[in-house]
Amino acid sequence: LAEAKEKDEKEKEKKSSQPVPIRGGSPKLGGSFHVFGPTPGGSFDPIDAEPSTITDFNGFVGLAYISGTVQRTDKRTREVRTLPMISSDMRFMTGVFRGVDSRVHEGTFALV
Amino acid sequence: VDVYEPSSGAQIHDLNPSDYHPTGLFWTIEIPEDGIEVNLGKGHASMEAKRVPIFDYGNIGNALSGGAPRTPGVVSFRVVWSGVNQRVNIRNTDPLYGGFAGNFVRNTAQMEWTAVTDDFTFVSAPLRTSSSNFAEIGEERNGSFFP
Repeated sequence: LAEAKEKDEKEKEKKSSQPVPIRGGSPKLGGSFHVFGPTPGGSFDPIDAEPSTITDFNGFVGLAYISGTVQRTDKRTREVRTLPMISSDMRFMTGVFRGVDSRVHEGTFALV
Repeated sequence: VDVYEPSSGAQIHDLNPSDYHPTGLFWTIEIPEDGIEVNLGKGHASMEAKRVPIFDYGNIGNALSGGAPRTPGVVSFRVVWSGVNQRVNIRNTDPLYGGFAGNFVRNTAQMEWTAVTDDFTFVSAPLRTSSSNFAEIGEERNGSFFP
């Protein structure tokens, strides 16, 4: 019972230390998804748009749209194909943030 | 991570960690801190994580709105940012796109990754064969930390 209570408290603590999404979002996605896509020439959002998906944040960020190829194997048929990966949006945010509990926490996050 | 069918150009895999409809944190998940290295002076950063839980939604439309089944899986990746094409200092007060300030380095990035879902395994080509059409790293403050 004590173990279950401890697990429950850890879960509550984890939820309360969750970061808060940025306000608003890209008009290209209708505005309800809390993300912007800075791009050269503003083809998606202006190049100086917010790269972080977390608000009340102070730290390091990285953003990249990456292309390449991947070899995919079908687990059932064993068919192997080489496929293009195009402009995969990969980001990180690491630093301090104010969580949903209004307290400041440290954390590291990836957008995949 | 977005994978396409070469013959039709249609997206056939969309791997991300969010539940649809992703109206909270967008495709964002906590990873171990030791997976990140940043050196803004040298224009270098890296991000590495292993067995991050994801779903394969097939395409971005399904990832944003649901409507078709998704397949659970895990993805491991290493992303490396390098070089200095441009250094910019941004203080963006735009009511839509802004509310943050910081110093950024615009450079290039490459990635290698693997993934396993219920249906497929994925192994990317080596990091050196990938390329970016936009990449930046920086130090920023937003929300209640925005000066």
